Amino acid sequence: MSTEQLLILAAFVFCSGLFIALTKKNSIFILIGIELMLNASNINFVAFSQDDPTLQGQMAAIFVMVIAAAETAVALAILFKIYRHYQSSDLKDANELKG
Amino acid sequence: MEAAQNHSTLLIILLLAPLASAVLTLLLRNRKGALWLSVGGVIISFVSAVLLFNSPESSAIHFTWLSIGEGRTLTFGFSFDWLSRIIAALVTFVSLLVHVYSVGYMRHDTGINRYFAFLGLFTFSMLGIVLSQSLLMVFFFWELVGFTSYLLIGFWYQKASANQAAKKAFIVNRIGDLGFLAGIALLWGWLGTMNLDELQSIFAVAQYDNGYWLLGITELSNLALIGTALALFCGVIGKSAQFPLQVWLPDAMEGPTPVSALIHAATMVAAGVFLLARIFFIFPVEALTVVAIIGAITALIGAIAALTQTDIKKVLAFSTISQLGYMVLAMGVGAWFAALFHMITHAFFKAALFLSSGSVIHSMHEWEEKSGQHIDPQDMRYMGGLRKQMPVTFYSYLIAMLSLAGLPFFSGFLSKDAIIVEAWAWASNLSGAGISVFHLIPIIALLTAFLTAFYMGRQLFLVFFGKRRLPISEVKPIEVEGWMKWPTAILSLLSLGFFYSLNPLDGEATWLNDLLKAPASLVSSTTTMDTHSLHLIMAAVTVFLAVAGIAVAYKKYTDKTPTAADQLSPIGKFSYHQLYFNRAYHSAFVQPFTKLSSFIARFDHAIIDGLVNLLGVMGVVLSQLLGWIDRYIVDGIVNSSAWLSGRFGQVTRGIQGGNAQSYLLWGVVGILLMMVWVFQFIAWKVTF
Amino acid sequence: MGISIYCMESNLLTILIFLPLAFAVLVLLLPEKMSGSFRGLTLSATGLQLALAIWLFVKFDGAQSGYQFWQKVDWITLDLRSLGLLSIDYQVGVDGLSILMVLLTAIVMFIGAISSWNITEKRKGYFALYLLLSSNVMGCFIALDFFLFYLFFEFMLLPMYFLIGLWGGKRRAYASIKFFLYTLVGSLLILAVIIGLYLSVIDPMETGDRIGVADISQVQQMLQTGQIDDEALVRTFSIPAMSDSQNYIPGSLLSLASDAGYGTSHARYWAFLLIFIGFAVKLPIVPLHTWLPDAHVEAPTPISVVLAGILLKIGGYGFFRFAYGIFPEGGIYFGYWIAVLGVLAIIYGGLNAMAQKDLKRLIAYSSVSHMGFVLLGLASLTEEGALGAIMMMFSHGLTSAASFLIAGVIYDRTKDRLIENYSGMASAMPYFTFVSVVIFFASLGLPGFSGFVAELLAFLGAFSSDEIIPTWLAILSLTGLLITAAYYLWVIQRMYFGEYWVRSWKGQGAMPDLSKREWLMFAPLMILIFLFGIMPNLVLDPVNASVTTFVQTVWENGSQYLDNVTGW
Repeated sequence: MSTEQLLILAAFVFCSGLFIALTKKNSIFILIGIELMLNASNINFVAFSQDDPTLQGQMAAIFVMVIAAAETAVALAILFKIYRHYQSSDLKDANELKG
Repeated sequence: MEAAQNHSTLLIILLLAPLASAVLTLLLRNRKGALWLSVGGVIISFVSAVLLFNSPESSAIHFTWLSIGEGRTLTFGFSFDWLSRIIAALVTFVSLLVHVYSVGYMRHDTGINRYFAFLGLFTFSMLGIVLSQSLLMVFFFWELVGFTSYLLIGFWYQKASANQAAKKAFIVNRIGDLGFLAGIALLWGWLGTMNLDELQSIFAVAQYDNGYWLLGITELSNLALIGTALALFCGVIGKSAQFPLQVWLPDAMEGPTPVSALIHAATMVAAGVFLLARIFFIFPVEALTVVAIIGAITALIGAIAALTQTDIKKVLAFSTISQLGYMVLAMGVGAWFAALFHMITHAFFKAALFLSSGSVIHSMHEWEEKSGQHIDPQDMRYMGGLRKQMPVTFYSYLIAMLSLAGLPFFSGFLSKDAIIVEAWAWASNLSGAGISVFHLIPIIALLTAFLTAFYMGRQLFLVFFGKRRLPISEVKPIEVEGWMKWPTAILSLLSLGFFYSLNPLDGEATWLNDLLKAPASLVSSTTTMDTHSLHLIMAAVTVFLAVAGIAVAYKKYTDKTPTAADQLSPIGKFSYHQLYFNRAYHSAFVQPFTKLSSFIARFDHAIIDGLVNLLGVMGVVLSQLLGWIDRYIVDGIVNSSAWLSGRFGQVTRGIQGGNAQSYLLWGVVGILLMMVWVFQFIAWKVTF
Repeated sequence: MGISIYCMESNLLTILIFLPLAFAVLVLLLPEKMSGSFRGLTLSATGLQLALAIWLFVKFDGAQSGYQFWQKVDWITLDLRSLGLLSIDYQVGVDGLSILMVLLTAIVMFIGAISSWNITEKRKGYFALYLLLSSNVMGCFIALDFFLFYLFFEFMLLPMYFLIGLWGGKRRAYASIKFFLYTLVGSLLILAVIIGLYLSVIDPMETGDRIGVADISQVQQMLQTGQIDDEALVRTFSIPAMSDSQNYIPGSLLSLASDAGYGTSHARYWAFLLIFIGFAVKLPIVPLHTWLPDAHVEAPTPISVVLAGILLKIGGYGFFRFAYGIFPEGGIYFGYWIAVLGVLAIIYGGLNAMAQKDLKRLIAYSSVSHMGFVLLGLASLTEEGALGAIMMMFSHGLTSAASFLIAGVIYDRTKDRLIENYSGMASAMPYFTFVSVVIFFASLGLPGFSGFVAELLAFLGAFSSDEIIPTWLAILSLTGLLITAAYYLWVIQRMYFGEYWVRSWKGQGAMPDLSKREWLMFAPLMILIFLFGIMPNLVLDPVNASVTTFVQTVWENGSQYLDNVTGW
C-alpha cells in the first residue's frame, strides 16, 4: 500500500478516535478513542518508515504500543477509582475542576 | 562694738518677739495661754524698743537678701535713727495697750488664738516697716501689713460684709502698691540701689541743671524724678487712704474695734506718712505740691463725709482719713516735722477714741444681750447719755476728742497748729506778696479744722450727752471692765499737751523737734516769714474755729436724734454716702473691669479657642474630603481594574467546565489554530 | 566605697534620668496581682530621684557658669561621605539655668507620686507611664544634645497623652488630643530648626580628631577659611557647639553669612521665631494657650500638678537654652515684641482667670498669667530679669502644684469644681483654709513667699532694661499684680468665707478637713515656698553665675551677630 493510502487510513482512524473521545459519555469509550488516536499515530509511524531501512518508525510504533498499554493500565485504574468515588463512569460527573 | 552687738540683739528681740508669740499662739490650743503669750510678746518688744533709745545712732545693720549677678545686691537693713526708734516705741506701746484691751474685748470670741496671732503678726510687720532702711524691705513689710490688715478686717469671716471689706482694702491698697513698686523699680533702674542711706547720700549732692538733676554719675530729667516720686507716693495714697484711694478705710471698720484702733487709726495707715518722711528727700518741689494738694483734698472730703455718719466707728474712720490728709498736706508743704508730730499725737488720741468707741459698742452689745432687744450696737441713734453710766470711758473720750478738735493744752492743738502755720508760710512763700491760689491749702486746712471740731462735738453730744435713746430704759448700759477702760485712759492721758511741749501754744517747741531732724531736701527752704507771730495769729484762729465748731455741734445735736440717712437733705446725703465715691468707682472701674474680664473670657473661649477648634474641624473636613477622594477615586480605579479582571474571569470560566472532554476539545482547537498559524505564516515563509 | 560614690557622682545625671525608667520596667514586669505595690514603688523611685537631685544641688558649684557633671558618649555615628559624619551624642550636663529645674522636677514628681496614692484604675499602666514621664522630663532638662533633647521632649508627650486620655475627666479625649496636637505642632517647628542646625554646625573637637588638629580654635579657623574637606566634617547636635558662631560652616543655612532667608528676614531670624513658637506652645503664650485650660481641667490631679509644675517650665527653659542660647541676636531683635507678649499674657491670663467658674480653670489661667512674667523677665535681658524668670519658673512650679492639689482636695470630696457651689469652707475645714490662703497669697506675690521674689526681680529687670522694654510697658505689666490679687481674693471670699454650705457634698456632716496624706503633700511645698521667699539666695546663688554669663553672652554675641545678620 502506498504511503498516501496509509496516511488517509491513519487520518480516518485518528478522527474516529477524536470523535469518540470528544463525544462519548462513558469513560471507557473515551479511553478507546484515545487508544484509536494513538494507533492512528502508530499507523503514521509505520507508514513513514516504509522507506527507511533503519526502521526507526516501527521502533517508535512499538514504543508507543508499550506506553499505550501502560497508560491504559493506569487510566483504567484511575477510572476505576473515579467510578468508586462518583459511582458513575460518566466523566461529566467528575467536574471538580469546574471554575 | 559690744554695745552694737547688744543693740542688734535687742533689735532682733524687738522685731521677732511679736512674730514668735504670734506663731506660738497659733499653734497653742489653750486660750488663756494665748493671751499671756501674745501680751508678753508685745511687752518684751516694747521694752526692747525703749532700751534701744540708748543705741548709737549710726549702728545700722545690713545683710544681703539677694545677690544679682556679680556684686549687685538687694540688701535688707535696719535703721536706728530717732525716727525709727520713736515710731517703734509708739507702735509697740499702742500695740501693747490694744493687746490688753483686746483681752477684755475679745474674751468671748471663739477665734481668740487666731486674733492674737494676727495682731502679733501685724505688730511684727509694722515694726519691719519702721525699722527698715531699704525701700525694698519697706515694701516687703508694707505688703505683709496689708495682708494682716486683710486678715483682721475679715476676722469674722462668716460675715459677708467683712469679707467684702477685707478684699476691698487689700485690692485698693494694692493699686497704690503698684505705684510704689514702680517707683522702687524706677529708682533701681536709674540709680541701682534701694538702700535709703545710699539714696540719701546720692540726693544730698544732687544738683539741678536746666531741667536735669545730676545724681552722682546719673543724670535724670526733672520730669522723670517727679514721676518716680509720685509713683512712690502712690503707695502712700493707698496705705494712708488718701484721695482717690480713701474708699477702703471706712469699710475696714468691719474688723474688731481694737484692730481699728491699732491698724486703721494709729499705726498702719500712718505708715504712709512715715514712708513719705523716709523718702522726703527724693521729692522735687512739683511733686511736693501734688502731695500737698492730695493731702488737702483728702482732709476736706474726709471731714465732709464724717459730718453725717450715724455709725460711731464710721465717724472716726472718716476723721482718720481727714487727719491723714493733714499729715500728707504737711509733708507736701515741706513741714516734715509737723507731719510726723501730728502722726504721733494722732496715734494716741485716735487710738483712744477708737478704744472708747469700742467700749461703747461693747457695752451696747452687752445691753443688747441683757435686754433681748435688737439694736445696731454701733448706731449712734441708739446711744446718748452714756456719760453717767460710763464715766471712765467718757473722760477718756473727752480728752482725746478735745485733742482732735484742736483745743489748746491738748496735743492735737500743737501738731495741727504747726501744720497750719507751716502751710500758711509755704503758701506765702510761693506767692510772694499777697494772697494767691496756694493759700487755698492752708485755708482748706483751717476749714477742715472747723469741720473736725463740729463732727467730733456732734459725736460727743450724741453719744455721751442728752437722754438715753435705747428702746428699753430699765436695762442700763454699764461701764466696761478694767482690761478695757484703763488702756483707753492711758492713751487719752497721753493726748495732753504738756507731754510734748511746755509751751502750750507753739507746736514746734516740743522736745521731739530736737530728736527728729528733717533730711536734706531737694527743695531749697528759704522761709523768710516770721513764723513766731504767725503762730500766735494761727493759734487764735484755730482755737476760735475749734470752739465754734463744738459750739455749733452743741446747739445742733444736744438731746436730738440724728436724722436717718434717707431723710437727709441732698447735701447731707452727699456727705453720708462719702461723696458718692464708692458708687462712682463701682460704675467706673469695678463693673467695667468685671465686664472686661468676662468679655475676655468669652473672647478666649469663642474666638481663640474657637479658631483652634475651627482649625481642628477644618482638618477633619479636609481629611474627610481626602478620604472620599481616596475611597472613590484612587480606590475606585483599583477596584474597577479588579472588577474588570473579574468580569474577564467570568467570561473565561465557562471554558473551565470541569469536563475533561471539553478540555480536550479546546486542546484540539488550540492545536488546529497553531497549525493554521504555522502554515499561514511560518511555513509559507520557509517555502518561499 | 569612696570609688563607688565617685562613680555615682560622675554618673549622677544619667542615674537621675534612668532610675525612674528602671522602676517603670519593674512595674511593667510585676504581675497584676501585686498592683498594690506599684504606688509604693513609684513613690520610692521619685523619692530616690529627689534625694539624688538634692545631692546634685548641694554638690553643684554655683560659682562656675559652665556645665557641670558633664558626660558625653558617642551614640550614633554615620559616615555620610560628602555630607560629613553624622554624630549624635549622649551628652548631658547641668548649669545654673537647669539646676533649679532639675530640683523642681524631682520635688514635683515626688509630690505628684504622693498625690497619685488613690489612683485605683489600671494601676500598672498609670504608674509605668508616670515613671516614664518622670524620666523624660528629667532628660529634657539635662540633655545637652539637641537630638537627645528632642527625643525626651517627644517621648514626654506619649505618657502625658495617655495619662490625660485614660485617667482624665469627662472631656478627656478632647483635651488629650488637643494637648497632643498642639505640642506636636510646636515640636515640629523645633524639629525643622534642628535639621537646619544640623546642616550648619560641626563639632570642632571631633572634626579636629579626624583631621589631626588638636587645637579647637585652629579647627574653627580652618573651618571658616574652608580648609577642611566636606568629608572630614563631623556634624553634630551638640548645644554647646551650636552656641558658638565659629562652628557654623561658612555659607551654610544658619550661618551668619548665610544667603538664605525668606521675605526680608535672614534665616537665623526665622529659626529663632520657629524655635520660639515651638516652645511658646509649651509655656504657653497667648494666643497659643488654649490647650492648657482643657488639659489641666481634664487631667487627674497628680497630672495637673506635673503639667503645671514642670511641663510648662520646659517652654521657659527652652527659651533660655535654645532660642536665646543659640540665636542670641533674635532675643535682641525681637525683644520688644517678646516683652509685649509677656505683658499680654500677664493681663490676658489674669482677666480670663477672673471670669472662670471652675476652680481648676481659674488656676490654669493664672498659670498663663504667671508665665507672662517669665517672658517679661527674659525679654528684659538683664540679670535681674533673667533671675526673675528662672525664679518664677521655680516658684510657680511649687505654687501651681500646690494650687492644683487644693483643687484636687475639693474634687476628691465632691467631684465638683465649680466655685459657686462652695461657701464658707473656713468653718468646716480650718486647716484646709489655712493652707489655701497661704498658697493663694503666695501665688499673688505676697512678700515672704517665693512668688514675690520672682515677680520683684522680673519687674526690676523690666524697669532696668531701657534698651528693650519701654517704661510704659513695664508699668503696664504691674497691673498684673492687681488682677492676680483680685481673682485670688475673690475665690477666697466666695469659697472659704461666709456661711458654710457645699452644694455637692453628699457625705455625713461637714466636709472632712485635710487628711494626713494631704498634709504630706502640702507641708513640704508650703515650707519650700516660704523658705525660698525668705532666703531666695538659697536657690538663686547657684544660678547667679550662669545667669550673668547668659546675659553677657546674649548681649555680646547677639549684638555682634546682629551687625552681621542685618547686613543680609
